[in-house]
Amino acid sequence: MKKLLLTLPLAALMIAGTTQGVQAEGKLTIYCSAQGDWCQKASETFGKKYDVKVSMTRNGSGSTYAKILAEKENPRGDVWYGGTLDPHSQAGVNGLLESYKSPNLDKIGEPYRNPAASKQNHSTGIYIGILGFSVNTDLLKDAKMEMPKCWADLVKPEFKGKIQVASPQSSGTAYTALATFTQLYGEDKAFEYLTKLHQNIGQYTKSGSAPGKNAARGETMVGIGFLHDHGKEKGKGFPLELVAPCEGTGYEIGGLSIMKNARNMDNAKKFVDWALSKEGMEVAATVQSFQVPTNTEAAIPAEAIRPEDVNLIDYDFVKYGGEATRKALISRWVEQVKPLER
Amino acid sequence: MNKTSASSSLSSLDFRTKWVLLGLLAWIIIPWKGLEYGLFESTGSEILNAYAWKSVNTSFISLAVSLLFLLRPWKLHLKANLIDAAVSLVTFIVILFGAGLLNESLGYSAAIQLTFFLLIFSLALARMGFIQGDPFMTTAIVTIMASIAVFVLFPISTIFSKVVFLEDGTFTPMAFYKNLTSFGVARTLQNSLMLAVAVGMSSTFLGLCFSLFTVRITKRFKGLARIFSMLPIVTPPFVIGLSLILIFGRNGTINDGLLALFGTDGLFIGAGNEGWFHRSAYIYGFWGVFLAQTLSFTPICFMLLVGMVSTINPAVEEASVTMRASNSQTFSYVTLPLLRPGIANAFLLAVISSLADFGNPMVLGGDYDVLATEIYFSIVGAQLDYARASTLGILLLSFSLLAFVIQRQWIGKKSYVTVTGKGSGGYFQPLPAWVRGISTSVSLTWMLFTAVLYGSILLGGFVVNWGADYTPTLAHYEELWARGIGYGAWPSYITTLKFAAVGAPLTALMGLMIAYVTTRKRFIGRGVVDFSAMISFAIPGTVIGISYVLAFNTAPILINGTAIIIVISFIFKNMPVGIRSGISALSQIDKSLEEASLTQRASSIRTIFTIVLPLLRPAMISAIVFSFVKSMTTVSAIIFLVTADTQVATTYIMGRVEDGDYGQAVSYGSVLIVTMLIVIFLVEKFIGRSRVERA
Repeated sequence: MKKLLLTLPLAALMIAGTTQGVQAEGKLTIYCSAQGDWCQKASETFGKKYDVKVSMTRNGSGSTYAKILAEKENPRGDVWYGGTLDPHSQAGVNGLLESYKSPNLDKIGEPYRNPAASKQNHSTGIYIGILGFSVNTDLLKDAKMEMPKCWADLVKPEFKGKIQVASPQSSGTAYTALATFTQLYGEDKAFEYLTKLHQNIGQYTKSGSAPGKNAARGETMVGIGFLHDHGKEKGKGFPLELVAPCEGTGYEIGGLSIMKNARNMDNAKKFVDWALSKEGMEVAATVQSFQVPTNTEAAIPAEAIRPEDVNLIDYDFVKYGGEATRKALISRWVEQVKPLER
Repeated sequence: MNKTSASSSLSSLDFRTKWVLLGLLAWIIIPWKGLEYGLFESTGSEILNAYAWKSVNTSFISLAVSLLFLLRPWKLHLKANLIDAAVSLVTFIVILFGAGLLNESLGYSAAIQLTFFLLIFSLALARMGFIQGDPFMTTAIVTIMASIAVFVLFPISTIFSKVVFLEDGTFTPMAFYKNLTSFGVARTLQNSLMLAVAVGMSSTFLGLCFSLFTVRITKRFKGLARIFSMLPIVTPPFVIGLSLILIFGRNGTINDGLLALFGTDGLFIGAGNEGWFHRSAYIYGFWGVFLAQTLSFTPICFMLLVGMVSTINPAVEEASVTMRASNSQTFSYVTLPLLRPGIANAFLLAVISSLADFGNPMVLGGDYDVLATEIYFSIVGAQLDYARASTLGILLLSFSLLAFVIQRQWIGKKSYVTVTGKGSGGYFQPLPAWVRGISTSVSLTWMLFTAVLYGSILLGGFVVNWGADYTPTLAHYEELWARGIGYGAWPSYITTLKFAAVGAPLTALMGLMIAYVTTRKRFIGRGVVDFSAMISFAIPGTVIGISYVLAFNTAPILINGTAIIIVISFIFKNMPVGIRSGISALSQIDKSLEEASLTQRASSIRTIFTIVLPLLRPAMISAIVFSFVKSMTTVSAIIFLVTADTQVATTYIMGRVEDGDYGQAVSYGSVLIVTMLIVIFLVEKFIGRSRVERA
C-alpha cells in the first residue's frame, strides 16, 4: 500500500510526460463543431501558416456549449469554430464570449457580420446551411411514388412511416425545422402541420444528422435535415436527391466566436481573421463540406445549394435563438405532438 | 483476534519523520502549483513560478506543519496520537480549502505532501486503536475514503447542487419537484425500468447458461466460448449498434429474408396475396435496445458467474448425491442456491448497467426514451438544462440504489462459503439433462448469432461503403494505419492503450480493496464507502463527465484537460466492477482462513498477500481485464474530458460515426477488438487463468 501510494504520483508524472510537444510561436486551443475532417484541415493549415501549436477538440455544438459553460471560471478553449449559431448566441448572452471585430469583417456578407442575439460582435457567421429534405431514390422507385417537392407533400398519407426527422428535444437541427415552420405558417398552423407530419414519421432520431445518413442507407425514404450534411452522403455514392422545399425554408448560420478571457487571445484573434479570409473559408470545400461560405470573395463550391436558387425565409435568429422562445416551442412540441399515437 | 497495535513507538516515529522529510524534499525540488500546460509543455519560467518557495502560498502551511511534526512538542502528552491525527487532518483540509479560496491550483509536490499528511493521520488513528490498531488496514480505509470524497462525492455534489440552484446562484427548492412532475418523465422512467428488468433477467440467464456450459458441460468449446463471451465486452460502443442495424435494420438481412418469406407475394403467402409481414424498423425501440444490451451485459454476468461456478466445492454436490438426491435435486437445492450471490450480483449489475447505458439507446433507441439518453440530451440537446439533467440523474440513481438494496436483502445472511481451510476433494456430479439441454442450446444459438454479428463488423471494414457499395477495399485501413505513426488512428490508439494500462491495475486494486474492507472489516463510515462506490457506477457517464469538468476545472484540483483526469475517471467509473467481483469471491472464502493467519501473528499485509490475494486471484484477474477493456471502450464519461492531446480510440470512432465514415469506424472497431482479445489472452497466459487451483 505504501509503495502503491508512492507510485501514484509517479504514474501521474509518467502520463503527464507523454504529452510532449515542440515549442512553437504560441498555442491555440480550438473547440470545433464543424465536421471532423474540416476541423482537422483548418487546424493544420492555420498552425502551419502561423507557426502556432494548435490543439483542436471536436464536439457537437450542444456538447461544446455545455463544456464552455462548465469551464466558465477558467476557460480552457480559445476559439469556438463552426456549429450552428444558436448555442453561440446563448454563450454570448450568458457572457462566455469576447467581443471582436475582425478587419476581415467587411468581406463578409452583411447579415452574417454580427448575427448573434447579444448584438455585441460576439460571433461571426462563417457559412450558411440550408434546411430541406433528402429522398432515397431507390426506395422511391420501388414504391412507385412521386418525388416530393414541398413541405406539404410530406404530410400525404402515402409517406406514412417513411420520413425521419430528429427530435427537437435533442437536436438543434430539428429545432431549426420547428422554428422554420413557425415562421413559415405562424405558430398554431405550424403545430397543425407538425401534428400531420407526426403521422408519417417512422422514427424521431436523436441526432440531427442521422435522418440524412439513414436516408442515404435506405433506412428511411425521406430524411429531414441540413442539406449540406446530405450532400456529403450523396458525394459518397448513395442514391440521394436533395430537395429545397418549394414553400421556402429556413437555414442555419455557422458561428465563430472567441472565448472570454481566452488564454491565447492574440492567436485566437489571428485565427478568426484567417478563418474569415477567402483562404480560410475555402478549406471547407477541400474536405467535401458544401456549405455556402459567407465571405463574398470565397468561391461557392459547385456542389453547394446556392441561397439564390432557394426560396429562403427571413429567419429571425435573435427571436428564435433566444432561450424563452426556444423553451416554449420545444415544450409545446413535447406536450402536444410527441405523445400522439401514430 | 490479536492486537497488532503494539508496534514500538520508535519505529513508527521513524516512519513519520521519514515521510515528513520526504515531503520537505518534494517541497523544495518539485513544483507546488499546478502547471497550466503540464510539466513538459511549460516554459522554464512557468515551472519556476510554480515552485513553493517562489511566492507566498498555501505551501507554507504545509511547511510549518511539517517542521512542527519533526519537533513534535506534544510527543510526551498522553493523547499524542490524537493530536497527531487532529493536526494532520486539519492541515489536509486547510490546504485543500485554502487553495480553493485563494484560487491556487495544487501541483505534484502538493499531492505528495497531502498524501503524507493522510498517511500520518492513518497511522495515528491506527495507534488509537482503529480497526484493532491495524496500520495497514487503517491506511487503506483512510485512502479509500479520501479518494471517494474527492473524486466521487465532490464532483457529483457540484452537479446535483444545480437542482436547487440556478446558474446565477438563486435558490429554487421547488425546481426538483417541478422537473420531476414535468411532462414525459413518468413514461421515460417506466421505459427505463422495464428495459432494465428485462435485460437483467435475460443477461443473467444467458450468463448462467454460458458459464454452466463452459465449466460443467463441455471443455471442447471452452476456448471458443471464452472468445464469444468476451466479444461484446471488447466491442466499442457504437459498433454493436451499427452491426445490428446492418442485420436487423429496415434494409437489413433479416428484413429482406422475412419479406421474401412472409411479405406480399412471399414464399409462404402465395402470389397476389397481402402478406402479414411488411418491411419494418422494429430494431429501433425497445427490442433493439434490449437485444443490444443483452449482448453487451451477458458477458459481465458470465464473468461474475463463471468464477462462482468454478469455485463451487464438488464435495457438497457429491454429498448430496451420496444421500441419494437425484441430479436434478442436487442442481436445484445445492448448486443453484450456492450460486445465489453470483446470480444476484449478476442481475444487479445488468440492471444497473442497463439503467446507466447510453450508447445502445443512443443508436437504437428510436422513440423509446430512457433516462440515460434524456439526461444526456438535457445537457447537450436543443436546450441545456442542468436542473432537468440533475433531477433525472437523481431519479436514475435512486432506482440503481434500490436495485442494490433489494439484492442485499435477497442474498440475506446465509453462508455461501465453499472455499475453506478444510480439504475440498471430490468430483463434480453431472448436471441434470434438462439443464444440459437448455444451457447447450442457448449457448450454441448465442454463439452462432454472435459469429454472424461480428462477421459483419469485420467485413464492414473491407467494403467501400457499408450499406451501398460492397466492393472490397483496403482504403479504410490504409487511411487509418498506413500514414505513419502520428497520423490517422495511431495517436489515439497509443493514448488509449497507455491510459487503459495505467488505469486497469489501479482500478482493480481499488475495487478489491473496497470489497475487502467493506465485507471483512467493521468501521465507521463503511456504509458510506459502500454506497458512494455504487454511485459512480450507477450514474450515467455523461453526468460524471460534466461533473468532473465542473469540479476539476478550478483550484484547488485543476486537472481538467490533462491525462490524469481521464485515468481517474476510468478508475472511479469502472471500480465498482472490481468491488462486485471482489464481494462475490470473498463471500465464498471462509473468514477463518484469514483469522488463522492473523492469530499466528502474521501482519495484515502478510495475510492479504499470502492468503487473501491468492484466493482472490480469479476475481483480481477478471477485475483487471475487465477494467482494462472498459477503459478502452468508455465513451460517454470522457466526451467532455478529452482534448487534442488526450484523444482516445472511442472518441475518434465517435467522430468517424458522426461524419458518416462507418467504414473507418468499424475498421478501427475491429482493430480494437482484436487488440483487446490479444491482451486478454496474454494476461491469461502469463498471469494465469481466472480459476482457483485446487489441491
